[in-house]
Amino acid sequence: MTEHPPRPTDAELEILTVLWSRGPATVRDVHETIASRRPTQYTTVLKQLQVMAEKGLVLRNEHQRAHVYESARPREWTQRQLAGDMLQRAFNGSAKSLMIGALSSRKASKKELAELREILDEYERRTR
Amino acid sequence: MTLLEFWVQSEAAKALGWTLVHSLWEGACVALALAIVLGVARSSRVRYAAACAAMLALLIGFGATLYRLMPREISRPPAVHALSLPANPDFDDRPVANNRTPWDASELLPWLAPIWLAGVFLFQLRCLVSWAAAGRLRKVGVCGASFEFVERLDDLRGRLRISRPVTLLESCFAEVPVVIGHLRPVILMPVGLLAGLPVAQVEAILLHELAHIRRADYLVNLMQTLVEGLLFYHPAAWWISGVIRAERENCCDDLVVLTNGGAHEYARALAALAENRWTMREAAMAATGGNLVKRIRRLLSQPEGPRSTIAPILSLGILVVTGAVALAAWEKPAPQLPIPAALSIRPLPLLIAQEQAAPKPVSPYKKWLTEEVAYIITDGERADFMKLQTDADRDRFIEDFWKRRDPTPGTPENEYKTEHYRRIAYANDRFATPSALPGWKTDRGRIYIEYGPPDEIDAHPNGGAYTRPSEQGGAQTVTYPFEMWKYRFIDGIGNNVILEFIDKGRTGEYRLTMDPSEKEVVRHPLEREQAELSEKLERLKDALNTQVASIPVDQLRALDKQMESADLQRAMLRSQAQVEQAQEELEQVQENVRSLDDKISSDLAQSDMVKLQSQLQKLAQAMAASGLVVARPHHSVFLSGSGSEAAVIVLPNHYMLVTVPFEFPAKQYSISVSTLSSDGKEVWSSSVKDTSNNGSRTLGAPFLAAGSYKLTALVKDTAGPTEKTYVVNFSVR
Repeated sequence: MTEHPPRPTDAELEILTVLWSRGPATVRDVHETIASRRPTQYTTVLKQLQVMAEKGLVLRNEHQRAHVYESARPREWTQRQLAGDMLQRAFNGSAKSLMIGALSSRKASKKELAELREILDEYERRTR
Repeated sequence: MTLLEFWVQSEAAKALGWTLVHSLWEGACVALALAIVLGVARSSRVRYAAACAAMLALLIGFGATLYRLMPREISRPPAVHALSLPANPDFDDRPVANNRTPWDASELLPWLAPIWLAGVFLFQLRCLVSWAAAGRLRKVGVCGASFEFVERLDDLRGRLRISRPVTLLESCFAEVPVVIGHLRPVILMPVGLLAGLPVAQVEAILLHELAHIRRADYLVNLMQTLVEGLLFYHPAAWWISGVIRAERENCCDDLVVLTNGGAHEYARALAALAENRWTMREAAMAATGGNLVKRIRRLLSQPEGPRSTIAPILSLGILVVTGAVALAAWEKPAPQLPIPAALSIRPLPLLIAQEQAAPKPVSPYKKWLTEEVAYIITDGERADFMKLQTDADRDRFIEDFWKRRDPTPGTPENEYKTEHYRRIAYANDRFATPSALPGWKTDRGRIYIEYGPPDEIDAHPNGGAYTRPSEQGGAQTVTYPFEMWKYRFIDGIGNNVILEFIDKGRTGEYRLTMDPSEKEVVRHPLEREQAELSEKLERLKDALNTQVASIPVDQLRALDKQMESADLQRAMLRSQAQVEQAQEELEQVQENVRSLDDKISSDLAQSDMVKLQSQLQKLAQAMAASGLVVARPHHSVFLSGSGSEAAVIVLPNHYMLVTVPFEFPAKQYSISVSTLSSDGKEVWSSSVKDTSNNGSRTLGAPFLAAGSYKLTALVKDTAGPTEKTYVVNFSVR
């Protein structure tokens, strides 16, 4: 495919996230996943997936009786596309100061990663 | 006189200005005290508590100073503003009130107040935006994590005794696992991370996030951000805040290790997270400082590098400078505001980072020996070179070294040397890894430098589906990214040399391998594992048969009476253990299938999956036919009817996969299932219509208590009269 699919809407993004997380899935699978978080109609999801297939956001595999959908683009690609939107980036970026997690919001440098690997390797050597 | 000027001249503004100045030295005192505590205390909990207390002291100090300096009547007529001082008994006796020059600090000081207020406004606005953005991240681009992980999370939640419900979501925006919210906390995992990491590591990371929730860190962090916004001008506030952030992570690390044990596994998980981040986004954003490195060293309790003594010294410096300036401003007003002096010392982490980053000079001769010609110098030459004493000798040696290798000694050009440096440049250009390993050090670089460009390169930078050459068994398989280099001839090695490089970690660092099967993601595609397992099953059946056959009939009868008697029972227990072991291995296969499912989306892989599923089914039938059917709730089990008509697989997430045999004639059919316990009571029933999904269908099943059960599945053709009943007996232990 040479033409880029358009930027997904929020609702479409939710479906794409399901597909990235689960891999190729049927409408039923997608609906079950979304319905476990908030009430939604099977037909809504079906319609949405059909629209997304037309837009080129998802690919439809019609070899099996129940159509299997998969994301047309990898997550990284779509993330980059979304990150191109300055406003979105600034908004999501600003959440960082409030979020807490296993890693700081600062990315480790390549040098640090190399050092980490060295430390771990050395630890393994010593304990062996 | 504008409104702003009017306000600036008020007593309140002046009091605020002085409060800001005083908070500088107050803060420096607090920071110094904290630095001393940090110098003594080793426990992360104590250090965290001390830092929090310091932050609180800073805030209280600010409030108290403001309260004492603030005039009791806020609005006084502007006419009397200029020369009056704050009504503070402490400062009343200072000899300043009467003889100020018109251009002094007390004229300038009040202007600090509006600047400060503007800053506070901006910082709190930022905080508000962050809060809204964090709320949005919970809703946009997320999907619920699979049941298996939610259950695991609940289990861990119980172990940490957290009563609040915690939601686990996969987010396409989160780069790293994060916690958002306090009352209804949500853990966001980057999409694909749960499936991509080993279970033990996922568990460790979930524990870390839960530790944050248990310690109410989100709330504390929110408060901390608010205080930061209030004291934004204060270097000490930022330093203390940084200490709180670092110690908070250490506390959580400790909690994880305390709950779970494996510090090493956890350290690996953190490193994997950091690496995962690189593959996710563009490789921009230079970073400095060694936060994570420190944490991992701490986890593995390795000796740390020299401890930084800069913080306390700096703090002392601020104290002296601001104290002196504040005093001077009070006694004999200086024309300069003290703030810039203090601010200029602020970027502390930067200074340390620069200090650490300064590279050590490497002697050009050492570099020549260990880098440039490392792969081509002979051992004898190396020994000779090491013996040389002076640089002149070394220069001569290097010249001779190249001269010996010059293919055309008469000409000024040394083709060998030129080619060698070209190869090094090429290797560094092409093969450098994202983890900063220079290209010449990688396996590909080494081979390239030693043997030159290969005659053929077969590159598979994305891995994926690959058809094995027939001498390796043929058939489709799935591989890591790999490259095959073919040399028609290598001197001293032979003709048609094929070298394989695999990028197992998908980090861009390809390693040379001798085993052509190593590149395959599932070690020797599932068929082989399958075959091994079936073989094991056959052996097991044989063993059982011979055991039974070797017992004489009358003895068998005698034994029959005392079924509890030791030998036979022990033998049965043994074989049951063997079956269980085989079962565990089967679970492993299933696990592989699932990870395969996540990793591969091509049609090819799907057909592999279908093939595999039918193999699994066959295996399940074979196992059931061996006569020993064992089932446990929560675990995989394979069952089959006496006539091998249907196979029922209970997957670990409590779903039952009812597989309808392929020979069932209709294309669309409905299934209704009911399960009876041994006393004839119906424990579970379910039905689905319009099934057309390749002969298999997932049905949610409840936990089954121990006992034996009979499952009846009625399959009906929705378009025609055909129907068939399948009966399966199984037991749950």
